Amino acid sequence: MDDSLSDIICYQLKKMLPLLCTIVLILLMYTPFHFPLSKFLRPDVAMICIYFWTLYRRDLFGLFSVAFLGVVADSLGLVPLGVNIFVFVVIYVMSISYGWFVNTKPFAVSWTGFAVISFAAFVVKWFLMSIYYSCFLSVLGIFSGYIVTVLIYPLIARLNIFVQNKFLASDEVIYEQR
Amino acid sequence: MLMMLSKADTYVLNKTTGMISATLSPIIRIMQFPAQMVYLGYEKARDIIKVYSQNKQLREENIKLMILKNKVRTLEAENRLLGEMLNYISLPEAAYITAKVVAEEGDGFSHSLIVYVGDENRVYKDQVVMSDESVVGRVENVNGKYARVILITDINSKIPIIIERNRERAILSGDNTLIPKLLYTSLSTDIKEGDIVVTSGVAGVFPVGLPIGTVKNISKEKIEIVPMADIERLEFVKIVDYGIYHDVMNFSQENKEK
Repeated sequence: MDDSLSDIICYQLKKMLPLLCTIVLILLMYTPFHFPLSKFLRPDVAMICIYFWTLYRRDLFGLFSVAFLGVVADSLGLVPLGVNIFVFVVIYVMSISYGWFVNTKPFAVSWTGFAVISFAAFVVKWFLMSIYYSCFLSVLGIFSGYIVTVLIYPLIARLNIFVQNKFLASDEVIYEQR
Repeated sequence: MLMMLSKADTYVLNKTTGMISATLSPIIRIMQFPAQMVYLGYEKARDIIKVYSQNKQLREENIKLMILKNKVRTLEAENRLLGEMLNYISLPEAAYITAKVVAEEGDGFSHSLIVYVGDENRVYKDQVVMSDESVVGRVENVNGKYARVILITDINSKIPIIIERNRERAILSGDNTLIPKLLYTSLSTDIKEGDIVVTSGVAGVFPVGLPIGTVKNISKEKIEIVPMADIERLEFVKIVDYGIYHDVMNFSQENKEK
Protein backbone atom coordinates (compact mmCIF):
# COMPACT_ATOMS: atom_id res chain seq x y z
CA MET A 1 0.00 0.00 0.00
CA ASP A 2 2.78 2.36 1.07
CA ASP A 3 4.78 1.42 -1.98
CA SER A 4 1.94 2.12 -4.32
CA LEU A 5 1.22 5.43 -2.56
CA SER A 6 4.85 6.48 -2.82
CA ASP A 7 4.81 5.40 -6.45
CA ILE A 8 1.77 7.54 -7.11
CA ILE A 9 3.36 10.54 -5.36
CA CYS A 10 6.59 9.95 -7.26
CA TYR A 11 4.72 9.70 -10.54
CA GLN A 12 2.73 12.87 -9.88
CA LEU A 13 5.87 14.76 -8.86
CA LYS A 14 7.57 13.60 -12.04
CA LYS A 15 4.63 14.86 -14.03
CA MET A 16 4.87 18.20 -12.31
CA LEU A 17 8.64 18.48 -12.59
CA PRO A 18 8.72 20.79 -15.65
CA LEU A 19 6.23 23.12 -13.96
CA LEU A 20 8.11 23.07 -10.65
CA CYS A 21 11.46 23.71 -12.37
CA THR A 22 9.98 26.66 -14.21
CA ILE A 23 8.54 28.12 -11.00
CA VAL A 24 11.94 27.79 -9.27
CA LEU A 25 13.63 29.55 -12.20
CA ILE A 26 11.02 32.33 -12.15
CA LEU A 27 11.57 32.85 -8.41
CA LEU A 28 15.33 32.89 -8.98
CA MET A 29 14.92 35.73 -11.43
CA TYR A 30 13.32 37.84 -8.69
CA THR A 31 16.44 37.61 -6.53
CA PRO A 32 18.00 41.06 -6.06
CA PHE A 33 21.31 41.06 -7.98
CA HIS A 34 22.54 44.59 -7.10
CA PHE A 35 24.62 45.07 -10.21
CA PRO A 36 24.38 47.96 -12.67
CA LEU A 37 21.60 47.72 -15.26
CA SER A 38 20.21 44.64 -13.51
CA LYS A 39 16.78 46.16 -14.07
CA PHE A 40 17.12 45.62 -17.81
CA LEU A 41 19.19 42.47 -17.96
CA ARG A 42 16.72 40.07 -16.43
CA PRO A 43 15.76 37.32 -18.83
CA ASP A 44 12.19 36.09 -19.04
CA VAL A 45 12.99 32.48 -18.16
CA ALA A 46 9.32 31.53 -18.13
CA MET A 47 9.16 32.13 -21.88
CA ILE A 48 12.17 29.86 -22.42
CA CYS A 49 10.74 27.07 -20.28
CA ILE A 50 7.29 27.26 -21.85
CA TYR A 51 8.81 27.07 -25.33
CA PHE A 52 11.15 24.23 -24.38
CA TRP A 53 8.69 22.01 -22.52
CA THR A 54 5.91 22.60 -25.06
CA LEU A 55 8.25 21.52 -27.84
CA TYR A 56 9.68 18.45 -26.16
CA ARG A 57 7.31 17.29 -23.40
CA ARG A 58 3.85 18.56 -24.21
CA ASP A 59 2.39 15.57 -22.35
CA LEU A 60 3.75 17.01 -19.06
CA PHE A 61 3.26 20.67 -19.81
CA GLY A 62 -0.26 21.57 -20.82
CA LEU A 63 -2.30 24.72 -21.05
CA PHE A 64 -3.11 24.56 -17.33
CA SER A 65 0.60 24.70 -16.45
CA VAL A 66 1.07 27.65 -18.80
CA ALA A 67 -1.87 29.54 -17.32
CA PHE A 68 -0.69 28.76 -13.79
CA LEU A 69 2.77 30.15 -14.60
CA GLY A 70 1.07 33.25 -15.95
CA VAL A 71 -0.81 33.74 -12.68
CA VAL A 72 2.44 33.27 -10.70
CA ALA A 73 4.33 35.78 -12.88
CA ASP A 74 1.47 38.29 -12.72
CA SER A 75 1.18 37.95 -8.94
CA LEU A 76 4.89 38.40 -8.28
CA GLY A 77 5.27 41.32 -10.64
CA LEU A 78 3.53 44.63 -11.01
CA VAL A 79 2.16 44.01 -14.48
CA PRO A 80 -1.64 43.93 -14.74
CA LEU A 81 -3.17 40.55 -14.03
CA GLY A 82 -3.74 38.69 -17.27
CA VAL A 83 -0.85 40.09 -19.31
CA ASN A 84 1.59 37.27 -18.61
CA ILE A 85 -1.15 34.65 -18.81
CA PHE A 86 -2.04 35.87 -22.30
CA VAL A 87 1.59 36.16 -23.44
CA PHE A 88 2.45 32.69 -22.15
CA VAL A 89 -0.58 31.21 -23.90
CA VAL A 90 0.55 32.94 -27.11
CA ILE A 91 3.98 31.27 -26.80
CA TYR A 92 2.32 27.93 -26.04
CA VAL A 93 0.05 28.14 -29.09
CA MET A 94 2.89 29.29 -31.37
CA SER A 95 5.18 26.54 -30.09
CA ILE A 96 2.54 23.93 -30.83
CA SER A 97 1.75 25.41 -34.22
CA TYR A 98 5.32 25.86 -35.46
CA GLY A 99 7.19 23.47 -33.17
CA TRP A 100 7.07 20.60 -35.68
CA PHE A 101 9.41 22.65 -37.88
CA VAL A 102 12.20 22.86 -35.27
CA ASN A 103 11.57 19.72 -33.24
CA THR A 104 14.00 17.34 -34.89
CA LYS A 105 16.40 19.95 -36.21
CA PRO A 106 19.80 20.94 -34.71
CA PHE A 107 19.90 23.07 -31.57
CA ALA A 108 20.65 26.27 -33.52
CA VAL A 109 17.33 25.94 -35.37
CA SER A 110 15.43 25.51 -32.12
CA TRP A 111 17.25 28.56 -30.75
CA THR A 112 16.34 30.60 -33.83
CA GLY A 113 12.75 29.41 -33.47
CA PHE A 114 12.73 30.65 -29.89
CA ALA A 115 14.19 34.01 -30.97
CA VAL A 116 11.30 34.47 -33.43
CA ILE A 117 8.53 33.29 -31.10
CA SER A 118 9.83 35.25 -28.10
CA PHE A 119 10.11 38.37 -30.27
CA ALA A 120 6.43 38.02 -31.11
CA ALA A 121 5.67 37.45 -27.41
CA PHE A 122 7.59 40.57 -26.34
CA VAL A 123 5.79 42.63 -28.98
CA VAL A 124 2.41 41.30 -27.79
CA LYS A 125 3.32 42.12 -24.16
CA TRP A 126 4.54 45.59 -25.10
CA PHE A 127 1.34 46.19 -27.08
CA LEU A 128 -0.94 45.01 -24.25
CA MET A 129 0.91 47.09 -21.66
CA SER A 130 0.86 50.14 -23.93
CA ILE A 131 -2.90 49.81 -24.31
CA TYR A 132 -3.33 49.35 -20.56
CA TYR A 133 -1.31 52.46 -19.70
CA SER A 134 -2.52 54.40 -22.77
CA CYS A 135 1.04 55.29 -23.75
CA PHE A 136 3.86 53.58 -25.60
CA LEU A 137 6.35 51.99 -23.22
CA SER A 138 10.04 52.64 -23.72
CA VAL A 139 11.27 50.11 -26.27
CA LEU A 140 14.93 50.15 -25.22
CA GLY A 141 14.48 48.40 -21.85
CA ILE A 142 12.12 45.83 -23.38
CA PHE A 143 14.48 45.14 -26.26
CA SER A 144 17.44 44.60 -23.91
CA GLY A 145 15.26 42.16 -21.94
CA TYR A 146 14.49 40.32 -25.18
CA ILE A 147 18.16 40.12 -26.18
CA VAL A 148 19.17 38.74 -22.75
CA THR A 149 16.32 36.23 -22.88
CA VAL A 150 17.45 34.97 -26.30
CA LEU A 151 21.12 34.88 -25.26
CA ILE A 152 20.45 32.89 -22.10
CA TYR A 153 18.28 30.35 -23.94
CA PRO A 154 21.09 27.76 -24.39
CA LEU A 155 21.84 27.78 -20.66
CA ILE A 156 18.24 27.33 -19.55
CA ALA A 157 17.65 24.80 -22.32
CA ARG A 158 20.68 22.78 -21.14
CA LEU A 159 19.27 22.85 -17.60
CA ASN A 160 15.91 21.63 -18.86
CA ILE A 161 17.60 18.94 -20.97
CA PHE A 162 19.40 17.78 -17.83
CA VAL A 163 16.10 17.53 -15.94
CA GLN A 164 14.54 15.71 -18.88
CA ASN A 165 17.38 13.20 -19.26
CA LYS A 166 17.88 12.62 -15.55
CA PHE A 167 14.31 12.29 -14.34
CA LEU A 168 11.91 12.10 -17.25
CA ALA A 169 13.66 10.17 -19.99
CA SER A 170 12.08 6.81 -19.08
CA ASP A 171 8.49 7.82 -19.84
CA GLU A 172 9.10 9.99 -22.87
CA VAL A 173 6.32 10.38 -25.40
CA ILE A 174 7.56 10.92 -28.91
CA TYR A 175 5.25 13.16 -30.88
CA GLU A 176 4.38 12.22 -34.37
CA GLN A 177 6.18 14.47 -36.80
CA ARG A 178 4.03 16.27 -39.33
CA MET B 1 -10.87 40.76 -19.33
CA LEU B 2 -8.58 40.10 -16.35
CA MET B 3 -6.57 43.19 -17.33
CA MET B 4 -9.68 45.35 -17.31
CA LEU B 5 -10.72 43.91 -13.95
CA SER B 6 -7.32 44.61 -12.45
CA LYS B 7 -7.55 48.20 -13.78
CA ALA B 8 -10.77 48.52 -11.78
CA ASP B 9 -8.74 47.62 -8.66
CA THR B 10 -10.98 44.71 -7.71
CA TYR B 11 -10.55 43.63 -4.10
CA VAL B 12 -10.79 39.90 -4.81
CA LEU B 13 -8.14 39.99 -7.58
CA ASN B 14 -5.78 42.08 -5.47
CA LYS B 15 -6.28 39.77 -2.52
CA THR B 16 -5.65 36.66 -4.64
CA THR B 17 -2.48 37.97 -6.32
CA GLY B 18 -1.33 39.33 -2.96
CA MET B 19 -1.81 35.92 -1.38
CA ILE B 20 0.23 34.19 -4.10
CA SER B 21 2.93 36.83 -3.81
CA ALA B 22 3.02 36.45 0.00
CA THR B 23 3.30 32.66 -0.35
CA LEU B 24 6.17 32.79 -2.83
CA SER B 25 8.12 35.67 -1.25
CA PRO B 26 9.58 33.55 1.60
CA ILE B 27 10.89 31.08 -1.02
CA ILE B 28 12.61 33.90 -2.92
CA ARG B 29 14.00 35.09 0.43
CA ILE B 30 15.59 31.69 1.02
CA MET B 31 16.79 31.40 -2.56
CA GLN B 32 18.62 34.71 -2.43
CA PHE B 33 21.11 33.53 0.22
CA PRO B 34 23.66 32.04 -2.22
CA ALA B 35 23.45 35.12 -4.46
CA GLN B 36 23.78 37.28 -1.34
CA MET B 37 26.96 35.44 -0.34
CA VAL B 38 28.51 35.97 -3.79
CA TYR B 39 27.54 39.62 -3.70
CA LEU B 40 28.94 40.11 -0.18
CA GLY B 41 32.24 38.54 -1.24
CA TYR B 42 32.42 40.84 -4.23
CA GLU B 43 31.58 43.89 -2.08
CA LYS B 44 34.22 42.91 0.48
CA ALA B 45 36.93 42.56 -2.18
CA ARG B 46 35.92 45.88 -3.72
CA ASP B 47 35.99 47.60 -0.31
CA ILE B 48 39.48 46.28 0.46
CA ILE B 49 40.80 47.59 -2.84
CA LYS B 50 39.24 50.99 -2.31
CA VAL B 51 39.90 51.39 1.43
CA TYR B 52 42.81 53.88 1.26
CA SER B 53 41.30 56.25 -1.27
CA GLN B 54 37.94 56.02 0.50
CA ASN B 55 39.53 56.84 3.84
CA LYS B 56 41.15 59.98 2.45
CA GLN B 57 37.87 61.01 0.82
CA LEU B 58 35.93 60.41 4.05
CA ARG B 59 38.34 62.56 6.09
CA GLU B 60 37.82 65.46 3.69
CA GLU B 61 34.07 64.89 3.73
CA ASN B 62 34.07 64.79 7.52
CA ILE B 63 35.67 68.23 7.76
CA LYS B 64 33.03 69.62 5.40
CA LEU B 65 30.24 67.94 7.37
CA MET B 66 31.50 69.36 10.68
CA ILE B 67 31.27 72.87 9.23
CA LEU B 68 27.84 72.08 7.81
CA LYS B 69 26.68 70.65 11.15
CA ASN B 70 27.43 73.93 12.91
CA LYS B 71 25.58 75.85 10.21
CA VAL B 72 22.56 73.53 10.47
CA ARG B 73 22.48 73.92 14.27
CA THR B 74 22.42 77.70 13.93
CA LEU B 75 19.72 77.56 11.24
CA GLU B 76 17.63 75.14 13.31
CA ALA B 77 17.72 77.45 16.29
CA GLU B 78 16.82 80.41 14.09
CA ASN B 79 14.03 78.44 12.44
CA ARG B 80 12.59 77.39 15.81
CA LEU B 81 12.67 80.96 17.04
CA LEU B 82 10.95 82.32 13.93
CA GLY B 83 8.40 79.48 14.08
CA GLU B 84 7.55 80.38 17.66
CA MET B 85 7.17 84.03 16.72
CA LEU B 86 4.75 83.12 13.89
CA ASN B 87 2.89 80.43 15.88
CA TYR B 88 3.86 77.88 13.22
CA ILE B 89 2.68 74.31 13.82
CA SER B 90 5.35 71.95 12.57
CA LEU B 91 4.75 68.47 11.11
CA PRO B 92 5.12 65.51 13.48
CA GLU B 93 8.47 63.75 13.68
CA ALA B 94 8.82 60.84 11.29
CA ALA B 95 8.96 57.27 12.54
CA TYR B 96 10.34 54.60 10.28
CA ILE B 97 11.09 50.93 9.99
CA THR B 98 13.93 49.46 8.00
CA ALA B 99 12.90 46.68 5.64
CA LYS B 100 15.04 44.21 3.73
CA VAL B 101 14.57 43.89 -0.01
CA VAL B 102 13.53 40.30 -0.65
CA ALA B 103 12.66 40.36 -4.32
CA GLU B 104 13.28 42.78 -7.10
CA GLU B 105 11.22 43.03 -10.23
CA GLY B 106 12.81 44.99 -12.97
CA ASP B 107 12.54 44.94 -16.71
CA GLY B 108 11.12 47.14 -19.39
CA PHE B 109 7.60 46.43 -18.14
CA SER B 110 7.65 47.33 -14.45
CA HIS B 111 9.90 48.32 -11.56
CA SER B 112 9.00 47.15 -8.09
CA LEU B 113 10.37 45.56 -4.93
CA ILE B 114 9.04 43.11 -2.40
CA VAL B 115 10.28 43.94 1.10
CA TYR B 116 10.04 42.06 4.38
CA VAL B 117 8.20 44.18 6.92
CA GLY B 118 7.56 41.64 9.67
CA ASP B 119 4.55 42.72 11.66
CA GLU B 120 1.93 43.63 9.07
CA ASN B 121 0.19 46.24 11.21
CA ARG B 122 3.15 48.61 11.07
CA VAL B 123 2.99 49.28 7.35
CA TYR B 124 0.10 50.51 5.22
CA LYS B 125 -0.62 51.39 1.61
CA ASP B 126 0.95 54.60 0.22
CA GLN B 127 3.60 54.97 2.91
CA VAL B 128 6.77 56.70 1.73
CA VAL B 129 9.72 54.43 1.01
CA MET B 130 13.20 55.96 1.20
CA SER B 131 16.79 54.93 0.79
CA ASP B 132 19.31 56.55 3.13
CA GLU B 133 19.01 59.88 1.45
CA SER B 134 15.97 60.15 -0.78
CA VAL B 135 12.55 58.88 -1.86
CA VAL B 136 12.62 55.65 -3.86
CA GLY B 137 8.93 54.78 -4.00
CA ARG B 138 5.75 54.09 -2.08
CA VAL B 139 4.05 51.05 -0.60
CA GLU B 140 1.55 49.60 -3.07
CA ASN B 141 0.13 46.85 -0.87
CA VAL B 142 0.90 44.78 2.20
CA ASN B 143 0.43 41.01 2.13
CA GLY B 144 1.18 39.32 5.42
CA LYS B 145 4.75 40.04 6.37
CA TYR B 146 5.68 41.35 2.93
CA ALA B 147 4.97 44.63 1.20
CA ARG B 148 5.19 45.56 -2.44
CA VAL B 149 6.91 48.84 -3.23
CA ILE B 150 6.36 50.75 -6.48
CA LEU B 151 9.63 52.44 -7.40
CA ILE B 152 9.70 56.04 -8.65
CA THR B 153 10.95 54.71 -12.00
CA ASP B 154 7.84 52.55 -12.55
CA ILE B 155 5.23 53.72 -15.03
CA ASN B 156 2.59 53.67 -12.26
CA SER B 157 4.51 56.21 -10.19
CA LYS B 158 3.30 59.83 -10.37
CA ILE B 159 4.63 62.12 -7.63
CA PRO B 160 3.78 65.80 -7.23
CA ILE B 161 7.09 67.67 -6.86
CA ILE B 162 8.55 71.13 -6.61
CA ILE B 163 11.90 72.41 -7.76
CA GLU B 164 13.68 73.34 -4.54
CA ARG B 165 15.30 76.48 -5.95
CA ASN B 166 12.24 78.28 -7.37
CA ARG B 167 9.26 76.30 -5.98
CA GLU B 168 8.10 75.45 -9.52
CA ARG B 169 5.51 72.64 -9.45
CA ALA B 170 5.33 69.56 -11.68
CA ILE B 171 4.64 65.83 -11.64
CA LEU B 172 7.47 63.33 -11.59
CA SER B 173 6.49 60.39 -13.74
CA GLY B 174 8.25 57.05 -14.08
CA ASP B 175 8.39 55.40 -17.48
CA ASN B 176 10.10 52.06 -16.73
CA THR B 177 13.52 53.49 -17.50
CA LEU B 178 16.04 54.48 -14.81
CA ILE B 179 15.45 58.18 -15.49
CA PRO B 180 11.97 59.46 -14.61
CA LYS B 181 10.61 62.54 -16.39
CA LEU B 182 8.83 65.73 -15.34
CA LEU B 183 5.27 66.27 -16.59
CA TYR B 184 3.08 69.37 -16.63
CA THR B 185 5.80 71.97 -16.39
CA SER B 186 4.90 75.44 -17.65
CA LEU B 187 6.36 76.63 -20.95
CA SER B 188 8.08 79.57 -19.28
CA THR B 189 9.57 77.36 -16.63
CA ASP B 190 12.94 78.29 -15.15
CA ILE B 191 14.39 74.86 -14.48
CA LYS B 192 18.14 74.38 -14.76
CA GLU B 193 20.36 71.34 -14.82
CA GLY B 194 21.45 70.40 -11.31
CA ASP B 195 18.27 71.73 -9.64
CA ILE B 196 17.11 69.54 -6.78
CA VAL B 197 13.64 68.05 -7.00
CA VAL B 198 11.69 67.52 -3.75
CA THR B 199 8.17 66.32 -2.94
CA SER B 200 5.53 69.04 -2.91
CA GLY B 201 3.16 67.37 -0.48
CA VAL B 202 0.17 67.89 -2.78
CA ALA B 203 -2.33 64.97 -2.62
CA GLY B 204 -1.23 64.04 0.87
CA VAL B 205 0.69 60.86 0.10
CA PHE B 206 4.18 62.32 0.41
CA PRO B 207 5.09 64.98 2.96
CA VAL B 208 6.66 68.24 1.78
CA GLY B 209 10.35 68.59 1.03
CA LEU B 210 11.65 65.03 0.73
CA PRO B 211 14.50 64.94 -1.78
CA ILE B 212 14.03 62.77 -4.87
CA GLY B 213 16.65 63.63 -7.46
CA THR B 214 18.37 66.25 -9.57
CA VAL B 215 17.53 67.67 -12.97
CA LYS B 216 19.79 66.20 -15.62
CA ASN B 217 18.70 66.79 -19.20
CA ILE B 218 16.41 69.56 -20.33
CA SER B 219 15.02 69.51 -23.83
CA LYS B 220 11.83 70.71 -25.51
CA GLU B 221 10.28 67.24 -25.23
CA LYS B 222 11.27 66.25 -21.72
CA ILE B 223 13.02 67.11 -18.49
CA GLU B 224 14.90 64.14 -17.04
CA ILE B 225 15.51 63.59 -13.34
CA VAL B 226 18.29 61.42 -11.98
CA PRO B 227 17.20 59.79 -8.70
CA MET B 228 19.53 60.50 -5.77
CA ALA B 229 19.24 56.91 -4.59
CA ASP B 230 20.93 54.08 -6.41
CA ILE B 231 17.71 52.34 -7.42
CA GLU B 232 19.55 49.30 -8.76
CA ARG B 233 21.36 48.53 -5.51
CA LEU B 234 18.71 48.77 -2.84
CA GLU B 235 19.35 46.22 -0.12
CA PHE B 236 17.42 47.90 2.67
CA VAL B 237 14.80 50.62 2.51
CA LYS B 238 13.20 52.85 5.12
CA ILE B 239 9.42 52.83 5.27
CA VAL B 240 8.58 56.16 6.76
CA ASP B 241 5.49 57.06 8.75
CA TYR B 242 4.93 60.79 9.11
CA GLY B 243 1.62 60.20 10.83
CA ILE B 244 -0.11 62.56 8.41
CA TYR B 245 -1.51 60.04 5.95
CA HIS B 246 -4.52 59.00 8.02
CA ASP B 247 -5.19 62.61 9.02
CA VAL B 248 -5.16 63.76 5.38
CA MET B 249 -7.38 60.84 4.31
CA ASN B 250 -9.83 61.48 7.13
CA PHE B 251 -9.87 65.17 6.26
CA SER B 252 -10.63 64.54 2.59
CA GLN B 253 -13.25 61.92 3.53
CA GLU B 254 -14.98 64.39 5.84
CA ASN B 255 -14.93 67.03 3.11
CA LYS B 256 -16.47 64.56 0.64
CA GLU B 257 -19.26 63.74 3.10
CA LYS B 258 -20.01 67.42 3.59
